[in-house]
Amino acid sequence: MRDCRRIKKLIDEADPPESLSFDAARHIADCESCRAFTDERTTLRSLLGSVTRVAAPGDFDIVLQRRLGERTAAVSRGRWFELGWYLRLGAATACLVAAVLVVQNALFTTAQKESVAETESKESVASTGRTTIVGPEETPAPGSTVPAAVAGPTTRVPTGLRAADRLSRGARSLTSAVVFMRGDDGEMEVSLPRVTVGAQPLLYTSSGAVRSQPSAIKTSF
Amino acid sequence: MATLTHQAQLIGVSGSRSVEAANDHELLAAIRDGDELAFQELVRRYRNPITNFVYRMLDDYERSVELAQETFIRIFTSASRYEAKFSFSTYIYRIASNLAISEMRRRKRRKFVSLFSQPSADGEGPVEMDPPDVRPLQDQSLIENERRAAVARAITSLPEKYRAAIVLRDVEGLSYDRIAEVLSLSEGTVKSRINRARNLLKEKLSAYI
Repeated sequence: MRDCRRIKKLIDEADPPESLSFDAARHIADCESCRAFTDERTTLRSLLGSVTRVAAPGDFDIVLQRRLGERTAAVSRGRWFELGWYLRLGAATACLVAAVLVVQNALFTTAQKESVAETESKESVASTGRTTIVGPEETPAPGSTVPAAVAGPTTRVPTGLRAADRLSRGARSLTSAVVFMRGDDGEMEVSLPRVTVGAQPLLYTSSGAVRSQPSAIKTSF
Repeated sequence: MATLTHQAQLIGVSGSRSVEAANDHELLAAIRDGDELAFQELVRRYRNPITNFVYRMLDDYERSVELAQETFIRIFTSASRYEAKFSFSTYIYRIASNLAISEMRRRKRRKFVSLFSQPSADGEGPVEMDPPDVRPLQDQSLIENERRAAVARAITSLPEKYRAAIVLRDVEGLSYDRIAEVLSLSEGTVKSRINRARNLLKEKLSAYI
């Protein structure tokens, strides 16, 4: 029985069907079951081989050329709309991320340039020594003092700058600054800490909306 | 790749050899270099076998012709990516087989039901219904036509994984190793599937065996 199973497997897998070994052929000649199996498989193969073979229609080549032309034209127009929706979504997302990165990089570069320009401006002021107080308000009258809280984050800039320029520059500045204070008993420079946008230097000496007066600061120099 | 380019030069339009004498690999190399005559020759050689193969898979002539044309379009558009690892016939049968199997799966999803089929008891899909024809037989040609039609229906009713293997083996006459290459299966799996397909066909065609 085991031999019959092996022989039937050989019969089924014979390629071509006639290429059976001598041992298998001798077994088939002696075994009724295997002979019946061989006949059955031979008939089945001939049945399958006898099915009518269909041929391509007469206009196969013409239609193929037309379809190929259409496909080639579509490819030349661009492959974008032939992509799957997920590929299109992925490409659009990648473009958006790239655009965001470019904008961020441009902003960062601009901020760096401004910082460098301000640093250079400070250095030029330090070399000339002619400085004045710059802040949201105009320069006070001689003899009066400028409240530091009102002056806000300021920098020392050349006196030749116009007021608008000074205001805008002072507002943008985020670096530490030095405020030139003039009081009854002399003058001094007060270094302000580095502040973020919106913060104020902590030079108030009394609560409420009253601005601190130079006398309240009690400068000691 | 360099060999293919050399082959293309041999059969180019201005070459000394005609496209009829070129083998499939040479034709494909020429197609890659833009030789339209080579493509026409390749289509002439394979349009009938591929159409017949797809038709045996789908049992739908119009759709089979469309898929056969799609096969050639893919051959043309991907000629530059072709690598001569297998014989060209294996390559083209693989493309046609993939297209046919995709179409069969698409039809299965959309519940294309043959007029000759009825739902199976286990819910796996339609089972071919082949009621016996009790009318008196007319003549031998009618008998022959009926037998061929029954065989075609029996093939179409086979499960998808058995159908491709049995059509390639017993209808198209490919060897086991080439079928394994076409279907990307091991040779043992191919033999097993063909054996199961024949057993199923034996039951369906018992009246003719």
